[in-house]
Amino acid sequence: MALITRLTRINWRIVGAAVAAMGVLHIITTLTIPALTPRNGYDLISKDLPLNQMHVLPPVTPGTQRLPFLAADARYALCRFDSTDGAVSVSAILPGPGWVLALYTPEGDNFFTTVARPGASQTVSLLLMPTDERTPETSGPQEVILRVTARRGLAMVRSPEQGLAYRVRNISELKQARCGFRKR
Amino acid sequence: MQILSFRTFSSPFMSFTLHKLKKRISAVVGQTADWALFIGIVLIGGLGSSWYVVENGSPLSTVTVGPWMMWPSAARSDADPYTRAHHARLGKLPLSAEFSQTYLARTDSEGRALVASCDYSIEGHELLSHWWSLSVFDSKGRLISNPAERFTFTSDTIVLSPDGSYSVVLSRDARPGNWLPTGGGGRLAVAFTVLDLGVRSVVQEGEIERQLPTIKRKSC
Repeated sequence: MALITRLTRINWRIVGAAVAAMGVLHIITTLTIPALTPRNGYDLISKDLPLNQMHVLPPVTPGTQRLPFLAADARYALCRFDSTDGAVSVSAILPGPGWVLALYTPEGDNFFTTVARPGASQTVSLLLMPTDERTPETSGPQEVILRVTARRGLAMVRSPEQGLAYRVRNISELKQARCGFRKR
Repeated sequence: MQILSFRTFSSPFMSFTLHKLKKRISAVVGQTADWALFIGIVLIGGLGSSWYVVENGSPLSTVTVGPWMMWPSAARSDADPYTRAHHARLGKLPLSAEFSQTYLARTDSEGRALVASCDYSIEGHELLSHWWSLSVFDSKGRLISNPAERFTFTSDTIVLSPDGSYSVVLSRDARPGNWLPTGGGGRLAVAFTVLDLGVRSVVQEGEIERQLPTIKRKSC
């Protein structure tokens, strides 16, 4: 009886309005978290990186780990690119299984990925061009022109950890990754 | 006699005033309670539910198999808002889930939290058409410092049994075979990452999920 008396004293119109407002706040909060987060994964990993240059990161250890849950299962070469003043070329050798070339927007969207296939070493050359740029007359013979909506972003070459015996070879292949500004 | 007359004069007036005041206070208290209820539901429910779903996922945004949880839209341009918020908030930058899937476990296969003070055995079978790795972190995703500098095993570095199965031991102290040190104290998280090799897609319905390793507590 006491419970029923208490329940009848609750203003159910207020409760209904509160639940509706709760839903609105839930949606607004969820949608604004990416914008309100001071430093997302892109900011954390690309800090201190030179612009339009490939940079090989040191091995991932407790002292050098740039991102949470970034495993020590790979070595990375990164290039923070900006194609505002013209196209940017990115190239890398993907010698074997586990090697990846990936491109990210500043929001963390991985908009392009290519993976190495077993038994075939491949060289990937990309020319990143803003959608409103004209196609250059000179591009490399194997170069793939990639129209990108994001003028800024991150190119990442990932070399898998294959053990001590492969480390020197893998680093040498990783260091051959290139990223550079292509003048108009 | 004078006092008595004052009493007889003031009593109905006073009681009327008190009654009015009481009514007013009760109305104010009622309104305040309504507003408190409204604000409480909105703030706790709105912010709390958003935080919970962004942090822990929901069946709408994650795939859960035993102790393993994976965000199937991670880093994709068409990712849902919860996946976007989760990765932005934690500062993760994964490969697109079309090419790489990371399953994260914070409990063993029986649902008990993974802690550094216990030993665990992670058992599975190699995935022939994918590259994979198994890594251990603390609860915030930081690698655990250890003198052996071991943080991960990959499909290239793990020691397999002749039948293709493997067993990784998580322990503070050195163990024979595939040992991952858990150092210090506190809770642990284990990440199992599967990468596309261009042979077979990682998004084949349920294929990876069926082959996820089990996590068994050995001793504490």
